Amino acid sequence: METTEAPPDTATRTPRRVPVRTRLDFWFDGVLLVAYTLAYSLGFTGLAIHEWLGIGIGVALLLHLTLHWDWVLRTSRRLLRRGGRDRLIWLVNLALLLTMTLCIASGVLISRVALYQIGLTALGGPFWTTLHDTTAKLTLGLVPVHVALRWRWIVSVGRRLLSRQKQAWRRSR
Amino acid sequence: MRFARHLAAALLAVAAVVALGVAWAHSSEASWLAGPAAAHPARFVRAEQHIRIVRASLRDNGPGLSLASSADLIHTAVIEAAVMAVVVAASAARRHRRRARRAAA
Repeated sequence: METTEAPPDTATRTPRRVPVRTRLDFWFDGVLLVAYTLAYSLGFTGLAIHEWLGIGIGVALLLHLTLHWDWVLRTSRRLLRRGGRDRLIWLVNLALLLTMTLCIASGVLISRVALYQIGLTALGGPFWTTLHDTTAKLTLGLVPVHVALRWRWIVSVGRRLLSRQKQAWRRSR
Repeated sequence: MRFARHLAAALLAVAAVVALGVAWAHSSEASWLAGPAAAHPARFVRAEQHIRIVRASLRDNGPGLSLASSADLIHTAVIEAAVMAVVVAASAARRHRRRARRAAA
């Protein structure tokens, strides 16, 4: 969502220090993407890990949304004035908020292992099961779009982090 | 303080979406998603029936990773990578066109 602008590095220039907040966003969002990929692969993780991972992702997404709430407000205000790419990103993010929230909420309601392990009984029902399946499929389309719309920021920060690490490694030798 | 305010706002947004979902589940439109069986979606599963389901699920799926089904993980990763590649390619092409137009002007 919110990104810190970073000019492209050249091989000759010393890479700029990457701000703590940018590093936090980069690694936190990276871990979230990996966790989401694992959680979606139910056949790989098994039901127990799938459910606990889903609950963890729910908490992490709430933190993700909180960390980028400034972007939500700023872009929503600008939306009427400016169109184009910002509007597309805003719409994708809104769709993702709706589908991901419904997917996690319905997942909790149809949970068979996680709720049982903490001593609660799940609410069942075909509505929640179908909603979980449908929204999960929608998120699989929206999550990569959400990530890819920020590919320039990801490449730029990734390059800076990597070159700084390389430099530190060379110095230590 | 600012973080708490933003967290409260984010919580409110998420709660609103969940409330919409619950309202949908209880409306007559619920059958549109899950068929006529969804008329009473919020039924409690009987405790002993639920315990049987959980035990069977844990026995069948196991508590840990089932690396034999890594095809599932690869399938997810391939779909994500394909969608990302399409979006990045479209974005790069759009950028290239814009630059060319600017250079021509």
